[in-house]
Amino acid sequence: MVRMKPTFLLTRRRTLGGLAATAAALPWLASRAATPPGPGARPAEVALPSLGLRQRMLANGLLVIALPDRGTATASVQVWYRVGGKDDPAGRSGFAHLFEHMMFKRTRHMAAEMFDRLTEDVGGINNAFTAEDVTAYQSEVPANHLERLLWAEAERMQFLEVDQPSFDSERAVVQEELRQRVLASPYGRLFHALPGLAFEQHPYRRPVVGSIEDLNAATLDDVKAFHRTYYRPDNAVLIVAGDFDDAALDAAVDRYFGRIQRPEAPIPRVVVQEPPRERDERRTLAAPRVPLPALALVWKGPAARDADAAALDVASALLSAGESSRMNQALVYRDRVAQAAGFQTQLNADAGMLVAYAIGVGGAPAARQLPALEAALLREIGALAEGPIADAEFDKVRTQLLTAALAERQTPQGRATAAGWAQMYYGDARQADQVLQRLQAVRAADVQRVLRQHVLQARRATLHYVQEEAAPSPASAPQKGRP
Amino acid sequence: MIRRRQLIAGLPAAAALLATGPAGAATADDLTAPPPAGPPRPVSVPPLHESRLDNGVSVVVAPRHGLPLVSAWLLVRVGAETDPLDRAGRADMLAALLTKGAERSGRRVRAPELAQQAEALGGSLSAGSGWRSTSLGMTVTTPRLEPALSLLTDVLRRPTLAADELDRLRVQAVDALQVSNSDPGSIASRVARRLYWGASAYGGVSTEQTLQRLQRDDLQALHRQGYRPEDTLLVLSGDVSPARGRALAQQYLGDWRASRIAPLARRDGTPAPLAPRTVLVNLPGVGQSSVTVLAPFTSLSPDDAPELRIAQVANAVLGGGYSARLNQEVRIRRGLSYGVGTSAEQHAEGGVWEASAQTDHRNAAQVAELLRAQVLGLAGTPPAADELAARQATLVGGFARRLDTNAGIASLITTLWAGGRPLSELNRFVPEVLAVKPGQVQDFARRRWPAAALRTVVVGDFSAAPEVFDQLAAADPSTLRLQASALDFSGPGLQPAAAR
Repeated sequence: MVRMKPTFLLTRRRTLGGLAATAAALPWLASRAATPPGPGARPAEVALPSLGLRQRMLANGLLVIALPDRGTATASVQVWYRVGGKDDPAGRSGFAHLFEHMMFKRTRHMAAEMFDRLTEDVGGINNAFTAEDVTAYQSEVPANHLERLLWAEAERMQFLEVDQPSFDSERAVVQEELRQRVLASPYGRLFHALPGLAFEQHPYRRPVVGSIEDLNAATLDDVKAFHRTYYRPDNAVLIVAGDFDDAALDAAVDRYFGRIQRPEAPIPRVVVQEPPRERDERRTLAAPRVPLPALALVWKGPAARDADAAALDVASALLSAGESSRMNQALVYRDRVAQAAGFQTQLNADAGMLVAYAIGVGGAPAARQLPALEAALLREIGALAEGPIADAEFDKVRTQLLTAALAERQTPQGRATAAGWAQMYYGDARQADQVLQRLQAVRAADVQRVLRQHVLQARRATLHYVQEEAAPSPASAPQKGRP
Repeated sequence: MIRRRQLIAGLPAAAALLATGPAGAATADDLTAPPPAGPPRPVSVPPLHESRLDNGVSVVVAPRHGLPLVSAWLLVRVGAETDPLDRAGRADMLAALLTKGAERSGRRVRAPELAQQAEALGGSLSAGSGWRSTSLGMTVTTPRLEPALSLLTDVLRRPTLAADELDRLRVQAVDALQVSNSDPGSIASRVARRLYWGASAYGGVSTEQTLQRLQRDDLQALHRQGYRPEDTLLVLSGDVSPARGRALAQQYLGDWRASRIAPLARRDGTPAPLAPRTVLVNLPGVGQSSVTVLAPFTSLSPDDAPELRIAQVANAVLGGGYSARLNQEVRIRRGLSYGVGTSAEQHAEGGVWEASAQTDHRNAAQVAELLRAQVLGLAGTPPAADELAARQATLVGGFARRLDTNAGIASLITTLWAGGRPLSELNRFVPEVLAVKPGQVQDFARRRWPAAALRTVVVGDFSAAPEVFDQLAAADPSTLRLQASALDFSGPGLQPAAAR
């Protein structure tokens, strides 16, 4: 079966194999929910243990979250910065992500790639990702190396030093990442086009990975200015999970981070309000090497903290989580008109998007398949919004949510990540413990109301993704400007 | 037990820090270097409780309490190695078909209801096959373990294998092949497989034709002949005691009677490389080239057993992690790719190692040459002490992190069992990896990886950089150039019989 899931996170490393697949299976779980438990909420049979986190703020504004975890030999050290693709400077789409890569280069007291010496050379691992609202640096190390990571994170928060050769080389890496994800992947161009359709005003309309041209325009001065502007203690959250002594951790954090100055300049924030969509729109994207035609329906969605977020996430699970989900059963199994179909929510801090998609099957022209797929997707959404929803279907989703949350919390890295998303989306890491309850409290009437409001009664953009007819277009040829 | 090493030259491996208190006063204000690491903690493999039922079913329970979560895996020693060449994809199709209908409590349950039953337990029912095993597994909360096992064992033992479900899966698989045929990495890996293994047991590549040949009878026969209690393993890892795990195994698998049909024969798996040492495939319009370099690797035979850890360390020096040699050269020094990955595959009669990277078409020849040069260079440049220690630590650390999750522990167990290796290897892994010496790695590379043993596959858009593909072809007189549309894995080679 074709696996097609929008990849919203860009990471420093190429991900190998499917080890991360379980964590990614329900990506919306860790992220958001907003309504308090209603009277109809049913208690889960087994409880999700509390993260038991402890937090404090240093005088310079750095928020520190500690998640004790007795008995593990691994520690997770993460720093989440409140800066993401939406903060890319004008004409520099992809910059926040390119910058993330530069954070592994030289600092005043670290040679380039010393982060790898401190992590993987001692049996740990490091990674980082850039999303629309956030850039997070995540290391896992043997517990006895925890303090060395604190030193290194403080070092690169203060003393990043960049040079032209390493910038040029890393820019080339990021451009290859873009080619691999967007140009060489059979449905890469389709997902790359979605943000530009979903958002009309907000900088979310630029894909986080950016464009080859904008990446070429970036300069060393841009890197320095970006670090100065956003990489500061009052724009960061330090999260540490593992088996440590509380007092010793506090002392080490004070020692390495306490002396970092809080700059006086305010942190610039995106204040653009995304307007509601006024009219429907239809586009066709023709590309080389489209094996089966595909279709995406795109609506604007609410922000992550919106009261409707939890119900939209549950709607997404009912429509497309697992083989027994409605869209899979109807389009893939029963009618055999699609290889894959789904409904995804991507609710960011400022505004969101909702995407229904389907990939067709072999043997019939796109012109015949795509209108039928469009109708089928809308029919399934309509049936969920207007028809009956069995209790068993809700029970299934609740159990899926609980099981995925427990699986994520097996490791220090998973617990720290759950706290990080809660902090970013709700401004309070402790919300990680309530996210599940809130999702489980969603009732049928909530799902139906939010689908009517945000999907059925809203304007949408429709994108048809088809094979181009003639020779490969200039867009498919290699781009200029490679070193 | 694990020894961690200092890798930054000159740093004293001294006082413990976070575990015992803040750093000593002497370094209190020196923030120009990281503090020393504390004393290492040993990597400990949790106790594994192995037993066998009277009918031969193997049972392993790996208790891990703390979270109310259990992973249950069933493994059968039947995989693609028994697929006839002209029915490549048979074991995989059977694995997929298992979850599409089964007899449960005397009633035929069809695919949609089965999926609902599985997902109502909180986990999806995953089934898949490798070269020598087929597995079924679920991760569920503790109260749902028993219904999950009931479902898994029904699906394993009493699948319906319905003809209409086979037809549906076949159409989907053919469509999925069409998608893979636009992906340069997928094409490269299939070409590489056939190039190295030829028509032997491990050279099988499924195609539309091999999938079309599969009939319900083939799958029923494979199930009857290959799915046998003595070739079956149940692994339970997580919140379950050894006694309860064993009792559940007896309850759901104890009445399975041994089969009297002769077991499946496996085709010979000796590598039978094709003549060309370089294969270039033209995929018009694709956005990047995929470059793969292949080399021999140790087999699972007892003769090769003493070299297993040396081979794993050699792989780690070249491709074990971000900082290993291949990624250093291709990504870190030159920015030519998002990353180089390596993998190794071992079977009874042979093994293969491969490195792959995607890059701009214009850099394909350079990347291929860099990968080859690093493989060949290991014989002349063995890892220095700190480099070796770093890559050993990477191997040990990756192993330790797998012990952190139920699914990770289960995968370590099933991998060993499928290869017929004892679980006690888990306790030896760390000391054996740390015992490997630089000279052993060098000697391994010198013997196993001469230039004549390497193979190169590049899949890209020839028209985007004709001179690059000409350069690749010029470097090796045995080069075969092909159109992606002309590839055919249904026979013993890379092209249809008429074209050869």
